Amino acid sequence: MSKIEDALNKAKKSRDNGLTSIKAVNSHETSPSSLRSMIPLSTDDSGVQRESSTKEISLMDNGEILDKKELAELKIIHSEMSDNKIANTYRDLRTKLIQKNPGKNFIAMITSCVPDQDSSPTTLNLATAFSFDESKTSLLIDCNLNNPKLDALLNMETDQGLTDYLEDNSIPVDSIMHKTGIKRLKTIPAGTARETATEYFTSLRMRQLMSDLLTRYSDRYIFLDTAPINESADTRILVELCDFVILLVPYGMATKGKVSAAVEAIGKDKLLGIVFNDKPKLPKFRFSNIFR
Amino acid sequence: MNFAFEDIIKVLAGEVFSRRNTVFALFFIISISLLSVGSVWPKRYTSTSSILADASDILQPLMEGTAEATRINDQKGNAQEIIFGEKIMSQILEEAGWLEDNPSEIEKAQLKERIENNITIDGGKGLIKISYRDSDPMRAYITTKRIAELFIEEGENSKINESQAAYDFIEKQVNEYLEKLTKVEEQLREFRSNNPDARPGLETEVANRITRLTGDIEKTHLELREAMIRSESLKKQLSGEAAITISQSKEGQYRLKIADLQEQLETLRLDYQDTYPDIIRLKHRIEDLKLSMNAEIEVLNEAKSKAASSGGVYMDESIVLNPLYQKLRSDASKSETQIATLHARMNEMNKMLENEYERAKRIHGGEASLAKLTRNYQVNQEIYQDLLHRMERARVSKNLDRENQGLTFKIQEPAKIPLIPTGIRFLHFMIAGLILGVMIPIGLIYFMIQVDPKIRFSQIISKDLDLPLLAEISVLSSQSDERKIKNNFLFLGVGVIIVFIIYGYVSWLKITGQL
Repeated sequence: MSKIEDALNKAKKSRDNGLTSIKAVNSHETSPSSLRSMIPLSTDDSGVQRESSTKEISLMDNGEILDKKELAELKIIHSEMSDNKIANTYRDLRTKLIQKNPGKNFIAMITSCVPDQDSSPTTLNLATAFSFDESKTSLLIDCNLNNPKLDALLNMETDQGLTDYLEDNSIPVDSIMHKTGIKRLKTIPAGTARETATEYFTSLRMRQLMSDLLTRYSDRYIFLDTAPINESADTRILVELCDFVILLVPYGMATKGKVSAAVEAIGKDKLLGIVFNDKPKLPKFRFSNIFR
Repeated sequence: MNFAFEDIIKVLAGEVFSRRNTVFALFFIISISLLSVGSVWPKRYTSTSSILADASDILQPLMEGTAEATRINDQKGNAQEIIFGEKIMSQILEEAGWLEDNPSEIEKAQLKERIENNITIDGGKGLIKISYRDSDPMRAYITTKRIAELFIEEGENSKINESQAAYDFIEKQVNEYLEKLTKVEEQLREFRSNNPDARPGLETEVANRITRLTGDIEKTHLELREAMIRSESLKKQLSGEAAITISQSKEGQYRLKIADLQEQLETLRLDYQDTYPDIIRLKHRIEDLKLSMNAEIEVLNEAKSKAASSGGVYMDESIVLNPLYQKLRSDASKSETQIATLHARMNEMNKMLENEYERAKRIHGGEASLAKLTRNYQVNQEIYQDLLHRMERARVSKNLDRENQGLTFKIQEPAKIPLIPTGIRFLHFMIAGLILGVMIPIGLIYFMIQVDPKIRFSQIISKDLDLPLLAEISVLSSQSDERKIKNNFLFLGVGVIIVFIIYGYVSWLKITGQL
């Protein structure tokens, strides 16, 4: 028996526990749609108005905003890129996601089908692309508890994250949501406490958090950055908590078999589509550039 | 799955880009190693000489119709046979200066093999092209020149030898046939002397004779039968005929006459007296007759007594042979004789027939042997005559060759000192080094793309796996990444320039002859 399977079994067990507890509260199925119906369950920030508008969003505290240069150095897309082909690709992807889920926000899980090939940069950029739109905010949750990358990608240090929240009931959601330096994009890092991840994700608190985050603002789009699905039991559990999954197929890394296995693990109904990423990009040569 | 050429090129370019360092390393290694190989690769100079050769051989036309000579179709093989022969090769070794180091026998053999490997012989229609390749242009020239010369010399010798051989052969044949002819002649003569009647047409003659003899025999046989029948009938007649008739003797005649005269006398007496003259004359006459008769009786008696005294038989004169009997008798005896003659003739003829038969038999066997002998003689004579003609022609050909009148080898294009090396040389290695240096890494990457099962084409996702493809996203590089890439490219560019500088330097060394 592999570790993964062990973890899966555990996850299943604890999920059953979680389910029963949710059922005890509300006899609805645990699905993203059911999460929506759990609005009244939200405990914190009850006074905050749920209605979102561009105006309100503009009032949102974004903290210190990263400039173009910094963004470029962090390999994050921005609206004024010199080569905006990639930014446009992300924009197109954003449009497609919105078209496929018209009129409502969603929880999108992004995972890779190749081990050791993390999906974080793509996820970050996708979330960033959503935040380009002034009427939308995006929240990026680092669910890759074993190997979190977001902090490093955003070049920031965070003290509290998802695991801390799940472990300690006293921690409010706000305290784990961090500003990123990108307008309208917030992030929940993986957190400091790291034990068996499956237990966190099957917990009722996790579900509550998800529904809470999704329903608080209808213009908030949530992105889960996860470990590659083929090797992570966490990711498989998270499939149930999200609206749909985007599978990343990195160029020259995945065989057809791996893609098929990942699709199998996700399930056809949850799979929104494939993003073929990491394509090598030929630099554009300008003779004058060489000696600059 | 088949991909569009454009996609393949894009992917290939992307791969080459992402593996640029490896590609450059391969390029460097390949180009520099080929340059090194090229710089030490021995130069090859080829000298060529063409020889015009008339392939017609002498024996063929000479022996046309009589004997079929083996034709040498493989002119190239023939030339190879001559040139690679011990004689020419040894001479080449000596004259091209290979033996200066006093090589051992084994080394000599190796040298020969090396030279042989460097010799190329092409045989076209009547044209033999001899090429020799060597690192030393002068040696290539000398060797080629000498090979061509020696080949022609050898070829001429062989031509002379060939015509001499042809002549000798024909001469030998002529002698052989002469001998045969003489032998057959001898046999024929011997046969003739042994069989004198062995001459053409004899058989017919004998047959005719046999026919004639048979006819004669039959005729004789008939005659014999006839004679025998006649003899028989004669014998019969003879038995019925008295052998003797008694004729009237003179005495008797006298008596008859006396009696007759007496009668007349009687008659007359009746009328006349005795004195009648006629009666008297008659009386006288009778008297005379009586006297004559007595005289006759006396003679007879005397004869009888004489005969008695001498012991003989006396044949009465009056007893005479029967003429008919006599005739018959004579006829019979004639018949007998005839029969005897015919018998004798018959026997003779039978004997002759026998002989003829014997002869015919003999002739029959003899004629077959004669025909055979004659035929042999004729055939031999014909061939002999023919060969005599040919021998004369062969003699002319031989003389022609001997005096080089019928020269059949001519140097069409003499060997020249080669100025430019042939075969693979430095320039080729240089070009190959640069081209292969680029092509091999790209080819390897292309091969990798084809073989590697990893997904490099988005079409595989959308078409092969039939999954919804949302986007294709390229790698996003930061400025520092780009800087790194730029630096890397600068480094690689410098590397490529270094390769070119090395190429240029080595070429310069080559051109100036320092390498």
